[in-house]
Amino acid sequence: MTNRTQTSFTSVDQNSDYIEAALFYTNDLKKRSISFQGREGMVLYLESITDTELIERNVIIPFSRNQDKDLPELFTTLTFSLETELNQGIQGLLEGSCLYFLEGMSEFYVLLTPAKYERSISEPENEGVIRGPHNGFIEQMKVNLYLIRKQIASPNLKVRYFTLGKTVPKQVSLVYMENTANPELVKIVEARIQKISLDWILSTGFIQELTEDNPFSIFPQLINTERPDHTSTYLLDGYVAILLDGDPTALIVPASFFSFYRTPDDYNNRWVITSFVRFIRLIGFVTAFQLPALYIATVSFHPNVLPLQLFFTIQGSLTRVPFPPLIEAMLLELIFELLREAGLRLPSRVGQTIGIVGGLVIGDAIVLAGLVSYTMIIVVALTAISSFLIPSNEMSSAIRFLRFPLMIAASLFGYIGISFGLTLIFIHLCKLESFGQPYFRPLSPLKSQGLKDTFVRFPIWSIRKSTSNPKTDK
Amino acid sequence: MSCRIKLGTIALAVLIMLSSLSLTGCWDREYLKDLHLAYGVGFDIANDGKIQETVELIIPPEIEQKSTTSEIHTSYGHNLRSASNQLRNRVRGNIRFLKNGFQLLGKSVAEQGLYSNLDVNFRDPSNPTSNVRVIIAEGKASDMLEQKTVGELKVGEFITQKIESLEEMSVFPKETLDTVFRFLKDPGQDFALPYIAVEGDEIITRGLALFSDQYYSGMLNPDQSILLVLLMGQQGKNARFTKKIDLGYPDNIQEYITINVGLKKTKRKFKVSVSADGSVEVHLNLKLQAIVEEFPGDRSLKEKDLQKVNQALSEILTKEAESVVEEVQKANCDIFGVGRKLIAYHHNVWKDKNWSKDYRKVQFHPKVEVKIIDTGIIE
Repeated sequence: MTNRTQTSFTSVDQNSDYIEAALFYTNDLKKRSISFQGREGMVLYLESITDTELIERNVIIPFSRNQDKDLPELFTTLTFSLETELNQGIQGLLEGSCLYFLEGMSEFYVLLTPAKYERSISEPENEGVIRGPHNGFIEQMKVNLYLIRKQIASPNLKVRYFTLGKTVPKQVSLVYMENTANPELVKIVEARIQKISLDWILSTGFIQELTEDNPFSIFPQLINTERPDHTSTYLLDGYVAILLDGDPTALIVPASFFSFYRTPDDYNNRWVITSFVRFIRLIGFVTAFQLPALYIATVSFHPNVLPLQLFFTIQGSLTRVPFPPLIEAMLLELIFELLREAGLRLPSRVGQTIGIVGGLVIGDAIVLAGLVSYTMIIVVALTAISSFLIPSNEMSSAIRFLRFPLMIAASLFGYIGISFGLTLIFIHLCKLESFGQPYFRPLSPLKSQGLKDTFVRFPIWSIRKSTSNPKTDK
Repeated sequence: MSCRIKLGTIALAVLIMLSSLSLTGCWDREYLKDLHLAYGVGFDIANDGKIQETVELIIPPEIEQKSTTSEIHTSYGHNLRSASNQLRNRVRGNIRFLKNGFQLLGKSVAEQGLYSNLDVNFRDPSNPTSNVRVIIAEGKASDMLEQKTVGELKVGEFITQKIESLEEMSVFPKETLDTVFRFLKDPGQDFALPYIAVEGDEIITRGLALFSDQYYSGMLNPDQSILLVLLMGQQGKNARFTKKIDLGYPDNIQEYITINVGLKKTKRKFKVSVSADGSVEVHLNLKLQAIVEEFPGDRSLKEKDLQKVNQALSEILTKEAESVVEEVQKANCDIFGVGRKLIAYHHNVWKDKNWSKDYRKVQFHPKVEVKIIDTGIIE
């Protein structure tokens, strides 16, 4: 926004000229002269973001009928304010208001008449649950706040607005529970958000990258979700949520490694079942980034650990492959990443083609062509499936990326290389912090209470008061 | 809070990553693909005194889902390693002994002494020892391996399976290169190894080869082997005896009874005592619990009959145990570790003894008690 200030002129034409010039004579700026009690007046609005019917009904028709009343009484059906600062008026125009100027008046009216084209609050596609609320955040921050307030009808729920972006201002809100959120944490989040000084911010990805503790880490340090219930659970636990107008994603801090392995479904299922599912996810976590490395290390350094029959089977499938295992694995992993990315971008009607190309042509023909072995295909397929087990897309990508350095370590030093690689990863995880909170809690630092809801889920009555609450962790 | 990594650090990291990628030929890497697996190895001493090494190589199939094939190769050398090197000159690729299942030693090797011929296995840690069986072949080991197949199985597979199943039947004690090494180094204890032979197309079990120090010194037949294994305190899943007993029944069928003492609770008492004059006495008591597995005929076993059966079997087995001990002593094979006990508890006595001579003078008092606890599900 420009820093110039300009108080409104008393002449309508001067005002309209100024605004037209400020908006560089854009074509969707509409003017309409409406006189009031013999004085010349003018309505200005941007037709692209205002509801023209609303203006017709609540601004123009009242003028024709109630020429005898006072001016403010005309607009009782609309939210309005009186302004003298023209640049404020222009900002109002850009946000969907219409302006009314009256000849000889030093102030002007800003009437709120925004167009509303809202997506329905349907369930987010990549965060579906079997049981539980099926609504989701949309691009309107107000609606998102409404969804949260619907879940938590408590005076403790506090919303604080910030405006980010120098040329294109955007509203950001900080949501937290006054009674459970750690004031220190709120202060840190607030300070980091206020420190952001960009010209414009389009998505929560910007906020995420600008507020992270360690931007060089491959692990996500903010939880993101499009689910109001997920957000509310975290809020009640003392976490802080950041919402951005125009983005259906809520960012929740401080994240922990294990929070990315949680889904709202975990608390809707019976606790034994959930514990089993969590255990499966844990296996998925291990296989997702270690299986190719283990395979490479085994076939190139430690074939003696294989049982005899498996030894011959794998050896048989390897005989025709001309590459060392690392190259073989890299080749297949890269093909898989290609297919995944292509499947993501492809329109769904062509999507089947990817299935055929990926599954049949590459899966089978690549072995027949002697480029990779069947065992490697099994390994990579298992890895791929396990990486999709992780509920959070960001964590899944991080884990998928991690296997490449591990594969290299395995091909250089075998099992020793893997253990060194894992050591480095775990050192990093233990050292990492998210908004001042340890990232690898409750494992490091070890909190037995927090462990009840980490690898397994204890019954709710046993964990209710003791989840990995940022306040109690402090 | 946010750590600013310098550009130089990133560049260095990238450089290390890229250069490590190019390190393709690493020193201790051995690709599974390039290995030629020696599954079974046999050693003999040739007529000119050289070591003859025979190896069964497993060749992976060229086409997937086909079974593996095998090749037998022989070479000669002054010691094991030189024979192996000779072998490497002859066969394709790199022979590796990673999955070595057994080492078959010809009788000539066993008579000449084991230690010198097993030395390489203990010296080089890349040779597996923990699950490698040591087997003695009657005649030449090479003859046995050169059969190539026994029935449908490759000879190596056949021998391993055979040894494993006979260990389960308590015919062989569980001895691997590891345990053999321990006994070779122990002056107070000897060992016995599986003893097999070729008969026509078949490979049959001769029993146990007894060793004195590191030299072959005698053998036991399979029946005696089972008793020896039990006396040693080991036990497989099965341990069967078929004995002739007389219960006074009129029909002749009911003379033979088969009992199984495997997987049942046994009590073994092994006591070494030294008398004032320095003579050593050994009491070896064995209490076995047995299941009657076969006892054909009309008459069922009654409670009072069982007493008789117990007594008869105990007598028979005690007598057999005495003969087993006699054989073992004759072979000068201190398989029960009497010497070890002396070293541990009667060290002064041990120091005065010349064990290789004095072992034969040890008085053994073996005693076996059998108690039948189950006669099966028919009355």
